[in-house]
Amino acid sequence: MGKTIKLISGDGEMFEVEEAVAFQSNIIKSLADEDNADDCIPLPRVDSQILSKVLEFCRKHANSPSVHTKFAAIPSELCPKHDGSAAGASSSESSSAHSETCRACYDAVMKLVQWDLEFVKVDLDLIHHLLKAANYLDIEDLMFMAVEGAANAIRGNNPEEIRKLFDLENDFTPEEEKEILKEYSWLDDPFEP
Amino acid sequence: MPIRHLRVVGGGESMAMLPDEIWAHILEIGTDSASLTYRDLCALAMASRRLSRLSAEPALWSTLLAIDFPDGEKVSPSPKALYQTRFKLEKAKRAALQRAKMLFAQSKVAVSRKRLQELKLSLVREGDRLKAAVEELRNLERARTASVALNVWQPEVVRGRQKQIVEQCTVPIESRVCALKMEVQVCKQQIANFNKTYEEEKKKLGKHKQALASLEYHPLQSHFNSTPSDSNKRKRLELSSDCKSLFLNV
Repeated sequence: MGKTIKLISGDGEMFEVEEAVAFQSNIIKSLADEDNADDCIPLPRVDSQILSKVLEFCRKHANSPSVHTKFAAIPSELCPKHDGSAAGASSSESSSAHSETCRACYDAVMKLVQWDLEFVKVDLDLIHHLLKAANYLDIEDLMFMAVEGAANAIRGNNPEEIRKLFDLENDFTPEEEKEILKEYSWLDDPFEP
Repeated sequence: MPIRHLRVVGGGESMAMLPDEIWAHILEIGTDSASLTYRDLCALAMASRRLSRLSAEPALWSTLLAIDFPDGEKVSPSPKALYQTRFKLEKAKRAALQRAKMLFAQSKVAVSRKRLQELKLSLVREGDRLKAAVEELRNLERARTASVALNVWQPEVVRGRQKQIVEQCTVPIESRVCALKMEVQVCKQQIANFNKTYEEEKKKLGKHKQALASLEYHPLQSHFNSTPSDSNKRKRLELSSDCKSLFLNV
């Protein structure tokens, strides 16, 4: 068990997690680097309910490669198959060669992706909070998945439903509405006003 | 179309209050991974002014062009307009293809019907031939019986009539009977054949009519159906191909 970080949510609850988990957040990472004496990091803008969700995500991703950045090469230490067989190659050259051919790594990544997709199958409210938290804490993978979740929530709705989803006013004038209907008449199944 | 219910937690702060930057990100990632389709961008555009502005971003439509119309112009000053043009073109092509298919199906039905009519006529003709042959055979039988009877002593009144029948028959009876019997066989065979062909052609007609009906009653299917199942499939394919790019040999 490595070094741990203590986080305090906006509503005063304390979460103690491993470094690898907390450092998924670039903000926490840089804060921890600066603050040598005090390993207790306050996060006033995230409440405990959301923070625990965020940490759940981070825990899952702690010892996995980032699947959503385009240029990740998986070091062989992280490969589930090669767990324990530390003897042998760990130079950077062989790790990119390793990740390109290892079936176990591929399967692990796909499993993680599936888990992520399930994780964001939640209602829009929670996604909203996750988006804000991911933005505030600068957690790249969570941001990506929350964005995916939001896109999923948007898909398949007509304009009226979108307005309801996001609490929006229809701020077009009646003339503009007519224009818009004409503008989008080329759709296969044009939306009704 | 599903409406997802908002669970209100604490204040009613809605997602719409997120900064433009995050919205742009949502739209960008959404289109990149094919979670959002052209229909979704249009729905957003019709929802409010702000969303209209956000969804009109040219980069989004360039992405859609690359996904939905991969072979064709890639660069354009207005990708959204280009998308619309390609879409309309595609739609017109599909309509033309549909019409061509319909015409073809209709002609197949017409040809089948015609063949059935011809077969019917053949059957009638053959039937008449058969009837005539059978009739003639019967007459010949009578003549033969009469000539045999003449060789046997018969009452004069009967003899008179039988002599009449024999005299009326002008052809050599035996050879004619043979030929007629063969004719009857042939006719029966032909009728059987025609009947068989008729049944087969009827089945074909049934199939052609079905094909025509299905063309008539199925609405024009869009190539880019924005149903959740299709989009999900494409999204998962996208994500998995994204990960696949990490593994060149898979």
